[in-house]
Amino acid sequence: MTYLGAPDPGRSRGNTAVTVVVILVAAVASALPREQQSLIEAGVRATVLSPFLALHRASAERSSVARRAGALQAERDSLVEVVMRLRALADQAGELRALSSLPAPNVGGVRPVEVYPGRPRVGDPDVFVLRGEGLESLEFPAGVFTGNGVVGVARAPHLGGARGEFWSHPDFRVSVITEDGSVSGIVRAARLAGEQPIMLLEGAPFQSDIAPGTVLNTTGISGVYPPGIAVGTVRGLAEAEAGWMKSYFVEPAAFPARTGVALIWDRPPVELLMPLAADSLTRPAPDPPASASGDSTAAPAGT
Amino acid sequence: MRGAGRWVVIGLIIVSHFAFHPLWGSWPAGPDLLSGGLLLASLGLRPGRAAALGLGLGLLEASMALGPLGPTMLVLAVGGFGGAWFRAMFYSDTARFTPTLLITGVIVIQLALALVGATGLGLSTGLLLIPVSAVVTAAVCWTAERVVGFFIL
Repeated sequence: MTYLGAPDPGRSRGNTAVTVVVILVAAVASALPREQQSLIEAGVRATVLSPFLALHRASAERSSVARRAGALQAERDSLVEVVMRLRALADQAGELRALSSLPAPNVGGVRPVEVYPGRPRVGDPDVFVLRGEGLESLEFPAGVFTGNGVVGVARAPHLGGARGEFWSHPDFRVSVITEDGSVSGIVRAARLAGEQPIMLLEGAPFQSDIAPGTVLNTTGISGVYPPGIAVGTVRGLAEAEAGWMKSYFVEPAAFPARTGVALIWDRPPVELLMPLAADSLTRPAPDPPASASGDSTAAPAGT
Repeated sequence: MRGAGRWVVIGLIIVSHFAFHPLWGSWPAGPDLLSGGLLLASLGLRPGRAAALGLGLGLLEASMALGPLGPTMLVLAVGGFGGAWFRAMFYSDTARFTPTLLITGVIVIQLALALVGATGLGLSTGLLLIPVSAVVTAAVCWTAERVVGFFIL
């Protein structure tokens, strides 16, 4: 026995064998496909780490409810007002569809989920794990959003939950359109040196100008997100490729770090989705300027 | 501190790491209790067993932090092995040995984890945040040893 009561380090065969096995196991784990690694992680989270995750959940719920009680009350009141206004519109649209013998739109439903982000430095802060009821029956990828806007996309099931990426992930893309329906493009994450990630709108037609403060919504064209979910607000021009297209910086509508609870889209069958997405792209602008209606409507983006 | 008391401290340090995981993640230079607990444990284990402990802790950490599974397991296994090997090679019974090992070991483990991680290693992280985190870790582990030792021994 030596320092601190430790046994001699020894060069015994047993010690060497254990070390070799450990290195081999780590090497095998590194070589596993992403899906199998995700399955192992999910198993560990559901067993050994389960008490710790329950503790984190209880602590987060307690602090957020206490902190946001006033804000939640205000949000609920404003939502009641919005629902009252939209109910009249929905009734009116239903009557018009009945007169025109059009089927009722099926926009699917949403399921509430808890969001667990990855840890910075050790893990990947741009990915998350979702926990909620009935996620195994969903089709992936599926959009994840809050009342503020798009949070990210769930990519695959994760042992009863789901695993996905925040909008800040390099692989994230979403097809967007301005509120008046005049310009569309693709939004992805952008990282400026030393700053928090923001969004970048790419593929906007060169001849179109988007004023700062314009809200961008999802087109719903890919079937990953429902149409009309806020993605962000245009901050300013980022880059203009001569005669070809423009890029804009976009202020995100929802921030990953502030997201604890979100909604995941339970989408209807794809054949019911296409007319819905087409509606969102061909919707006429509310008060179109007489000269701008012809040349500013962009081709729909393919994502 | 020797014997059961030391293992109680190590257990508490590692459990605290997972229990307050979101809290440590929200601090830019918070203590890395996982590496600290692993290095303390490796002082009392043979290199092979210390590596096996590191492998298991790496699996837990990657699952909790949603990090790269294999590389995290490998880094912590090598960290545990290295701690035990370092203690064997540079046998010392001075009061400065453990804090020195903790600071050096935590810096090496965190640098390695940042290099294999998804976000990479920035200049401020490598030169400032990780060294500060290592010093904080050594201070927390040293305090935990003294406080628990005061009640147990």
